[in-house]
Amino acid sequence: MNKGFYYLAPAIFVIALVAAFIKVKPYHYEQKPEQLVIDIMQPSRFITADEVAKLLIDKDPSLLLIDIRPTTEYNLFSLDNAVNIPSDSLLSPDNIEYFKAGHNKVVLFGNGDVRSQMAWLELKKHGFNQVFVLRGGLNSWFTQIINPPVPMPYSPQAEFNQYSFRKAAGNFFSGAAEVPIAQDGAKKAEKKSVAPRPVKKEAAAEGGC
Amino acid sequence: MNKKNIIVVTAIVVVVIAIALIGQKGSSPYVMSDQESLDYVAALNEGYVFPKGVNPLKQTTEGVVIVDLRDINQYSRQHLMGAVNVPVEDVLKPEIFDQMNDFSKDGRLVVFYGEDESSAAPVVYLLKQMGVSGARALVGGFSFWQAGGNADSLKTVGFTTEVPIGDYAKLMTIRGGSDSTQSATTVVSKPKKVAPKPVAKKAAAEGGC
Repeated sequence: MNKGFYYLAPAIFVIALVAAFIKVKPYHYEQKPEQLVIDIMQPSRFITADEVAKLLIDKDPSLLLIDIRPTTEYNLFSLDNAVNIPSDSLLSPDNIEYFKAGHNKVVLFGNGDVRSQMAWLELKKHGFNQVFVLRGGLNSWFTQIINPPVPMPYSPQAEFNQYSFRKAAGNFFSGAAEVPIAQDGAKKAEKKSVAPRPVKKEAAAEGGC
Repeated sequence: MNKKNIIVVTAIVVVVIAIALIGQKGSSPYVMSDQESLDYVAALNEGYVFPKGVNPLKQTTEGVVIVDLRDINQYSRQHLMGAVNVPVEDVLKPEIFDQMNDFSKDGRLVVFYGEDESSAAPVVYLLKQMGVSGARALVGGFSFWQAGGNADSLKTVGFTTEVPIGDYAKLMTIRGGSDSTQSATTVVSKPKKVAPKPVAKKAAAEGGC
């Protein structure tokens, strides 16, 4: 019996040592390149500007936006509640905590999606799976939410709905965040005024004469 | 009894150590260290894009291999001159990977393109990390060249997606920065703009009748 315990003590010590190593492992974890290629082939890593806008308006707590541009550009403009992690310090011990924190949707964005896809791959390589990429980056945010293209008069209704959503979201993010209800009203007013405006004008002109 | 205990305990210890060693040692397929690859992402430049000023529609430059990453259907429909087809899933097949590695060791560039500019980015990044130093992404992607893009339009910017298209400094002045007073004025002025429109319309309609 006693001899058995003598052997048990170092055994426990060794197991503890191994456990300590394993704890460090997730940080140094390396995914196989074959698996990364499979991840690259799947477009599910992309999230569109519209989806991000919806999540932001809904104040989704599982969303974490990460701006990987340099700090100077971040200070000029960024998305609401975005955290700035320049891409060269992505894996520093402080920043890695953001990816461990259990957010369901960690969305990376830069000006485009070249850098953010590389950052995404780097995080995938280290075993962080809940990481997404904003499709087109801030540039798509700018062209779709801040300056949405006006649909053609003959476009389907879905396109008008999308446009009015984007317009309302654009207003929402450009300063009027305190009064979302008032914005709702504006959205309705705009929806009406966008499509039928030319028709009404013509009618009024005819009637006037 | 004692002997059995001892044997069991030593066996467990040996197995645990062996597992730990296998887990830790396994030779990494990645040549670049984490920080090296992150610095590469932060300083995306000539090392990422195909040299600007070269038109892949006209001639295949000496010492350059152009690789089409799209699937075989898209490739057979239309592809850039001199391009070979390697769908993303085949990139790591030993015979293909070794060939690309040899090309790059000979000082040749392996230029990848996908449907749009950013779609080759993760593949190039992965191959770079695995030691294919000659891997590049074709600026603009397939859609740019197919739509009649030319080398002259690329001379000003090396790669387009990572350049901000929005004038964010100007946007911030509209937004009124983070000052509460300024944002309050924008809030007041906005409803004003929205509200009079419907009123004016109604007035015009009444006048017409």
